[in-house]
Amino acid sequence: MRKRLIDQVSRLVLSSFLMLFTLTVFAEETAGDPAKGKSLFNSNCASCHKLDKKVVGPALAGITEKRDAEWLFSWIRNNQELRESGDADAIAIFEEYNGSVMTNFPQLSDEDITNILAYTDAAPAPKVVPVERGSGSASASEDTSYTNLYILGAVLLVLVLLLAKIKNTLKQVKGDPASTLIEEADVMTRTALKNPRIVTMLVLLVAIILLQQSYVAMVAVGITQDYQPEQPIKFSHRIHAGDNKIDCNYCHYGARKSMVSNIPSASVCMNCHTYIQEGAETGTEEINKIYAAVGFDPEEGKYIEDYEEQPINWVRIHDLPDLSYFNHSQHVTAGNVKCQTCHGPVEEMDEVYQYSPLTMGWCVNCHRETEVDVKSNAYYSDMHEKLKEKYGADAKITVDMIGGLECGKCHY
Amino acid sequence: MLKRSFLHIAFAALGSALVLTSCHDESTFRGWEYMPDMYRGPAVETYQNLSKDGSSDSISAMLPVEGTIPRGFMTYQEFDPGQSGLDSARAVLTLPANIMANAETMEESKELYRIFCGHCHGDKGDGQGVLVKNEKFLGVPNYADRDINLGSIFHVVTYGKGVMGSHAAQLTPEERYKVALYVMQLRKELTGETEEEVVEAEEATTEAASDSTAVLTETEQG
Repeated sequence: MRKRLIDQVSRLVLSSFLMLFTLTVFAEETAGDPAKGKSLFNSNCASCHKLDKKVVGPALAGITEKRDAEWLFSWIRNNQELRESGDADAIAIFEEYNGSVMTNFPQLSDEDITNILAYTDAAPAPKVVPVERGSGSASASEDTSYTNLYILGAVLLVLVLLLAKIKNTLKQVKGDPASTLIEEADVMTRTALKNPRIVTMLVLLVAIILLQQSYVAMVAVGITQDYQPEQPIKFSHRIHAGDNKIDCNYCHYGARKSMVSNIPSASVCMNCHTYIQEGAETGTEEINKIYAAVGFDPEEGKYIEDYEEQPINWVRIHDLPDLSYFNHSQHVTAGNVKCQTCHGPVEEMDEVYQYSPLTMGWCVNCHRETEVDVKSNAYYSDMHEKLKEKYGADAKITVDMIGGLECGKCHY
Repeated sequence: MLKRSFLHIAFAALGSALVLTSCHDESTFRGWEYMPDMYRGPAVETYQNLSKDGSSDSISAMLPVEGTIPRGFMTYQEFDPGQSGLDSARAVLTLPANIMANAETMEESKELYRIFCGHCHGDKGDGQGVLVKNEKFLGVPNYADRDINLGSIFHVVTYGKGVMGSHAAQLTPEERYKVALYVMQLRKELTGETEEEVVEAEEATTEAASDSTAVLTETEQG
C-alpha cells in the first residue's frame, strides 16, 4: 500500500518535471535560439549588416523594437515585393540607403528568421581583451636577457669580493699583513707588464680585435641588412600574411607584372578595412590612420566628400643602388622564385626588416645555384637544345648558364 | 701612487671598451654609404621622395596624367557602379574574343583566383576562405546561392559590391575576365551542373579567337 503511494508520487513528480522541461524547450523555441541565429547571421547577413554599426545596411541590434515581426519576415524574404506593394517603411529604407538592393532570402524558414532576430536582440558578447603579442614581447625578452647579464655581473662581483675577504682573513690567521683588492690587482698588473711575452700577447690581441672590428665596419658600408625602420602605421605582416594567409601578391600586385613590387595603395587596405574596423592587437588606433589618409568615416561607413587625402609615408626598406637593375616580374613570374627566398619569413614578421644582404655576391651565388625550369617553358625550348649539346643531356641548367652572370644583365 | 696608476689603466680600458662597443647595430639606422653618387643617380626612382623635408608627397608616386592608358591595356566598357550598371553588365557582357577558355587560361585563372579571391571566397568558392574561418570577414556568400554570370562577376570585381571593394587596380580587365571564368567554373562545380556547357563554350571561343590570337600577343608584348 505504502509502496504504491510512493510509486504514484514519484510518477507524478517525474511527469510534472517532464512537462516543465518540454514547456521550457517549447518556450525557447518560440523565442528563437541566439546561438543558431549567430551562425545564420554570420553567413547570410553579416556581409552588409553589423549589430552596432552601419555597414552597407543599417545596424541591426534591437531591430525588433523598431519594426514588427511580420514586416521583418516579409522584408527579409523578399524586400522587392514588399517595396512594390507600396509599403511606406520599405520604400523609405530603400531611399535612405541610396537604393542599394538587399538580397532576398526566400530560403530562410520561419525558425531561421526567428533565430536571427533572437540573435540581434541578445546583448552582444563581451569583447575579448586582446593579448599582447609581437613587437612588445620581443623587446621584453631582449630586456630580460640584458637584466640576466646584469644579475650575472653582480653575482660575479660579489664572489670576487667574497674571495678577497676570505683571502685576507686567511692571511690574518697566518699573521701576514692584509692587502686591499686594488693593491693586489696593481701588483699583479705591474709584474705582468714587466713580462715581455705577456705584453706582446696583449698588444697582438688588441691589434687583432681592432683590425677585425674595422674590417666588419668597412664591409658593412653600403649594406643595409637588418634595417628595420619604424613605419607610419604599425602594419603587421604576421597578422595579414601569416595568420590570415593573404597572398603577398594580393597587396603587392605589381610584383607579378612590373619591375617594382608596389607599396600597396590605401585603396587596397580599404578593400578589407571598410568592413574590418578593429584590429586584433591595436584596436582602432592603427586602422584609423588609414581612414584619416583616405577620408573614410567608419561610423557612417562612407567616404567623406571633398576630403583632402593624405599620403601614408611608408619608409622604403629594400632599395638597390642606382647602379644595378632588378626586375621583380622576371623573378616572380618567369623565374617562379618565392617572395620568401629574398625577403625571408615576412609572414612571421610584425615589423619588416631587410632579411637578405642584397650584395652582388649574394645575387651571383643564387644565380649559380638556382636551377632553371626549362621543361615547362616554351620560351626556353630552343635554348634548351643548345644547352643540352653544350653541357650534356642530364646537366642541371642554372641561371648562370643562360647568361645570369653577364655584367650587362644588371649593370648598364 | 700605487692606486693612481692602476686607476689610469682601468680608465683606459673602460674608455677603449666604450669606443669599441659604441658602434653597435641600430636597426633603425640604414647604415653608412660610400660614394652616395653611385647609389643615388640623377634619374627619379620609384617611390623616391624628392622633397627636402620629407613631408610632401614624392613626385614619383604621383597619379599619371588623366586619361593615361598603360601599355597593352585592354579597354573595357564602363558601367554605372551601382545596381543599374550591374544589371546591364549582366545582360550585355560576354567573354571577349581574345580570351580563350582553354586549359592554359583556366590554370592562370585559378592562380589569379587563389591570389585575389580565395582568402575570402574560399578555394572552392563556397564562401569559406581563411578570413571567414578566422571570423574576420563575415557573410561571404557561396557562389551557388547567387544568381551570377560572367558579366555580373566582371562588374562586381571592377566596381565592388556591398562590402567587397573594387579590385580594378589589382587586376587588369583581361585578368578580371579570367577570374570571372574561373568563378563560373567553381559555381558549376558547386551547383553540380555538368561540364558539357563549358566544353562547348570553349570550342566556340577557340574557333572565334583563333584569328584574334595575333591581337592578343601583340597587346601582351606591348
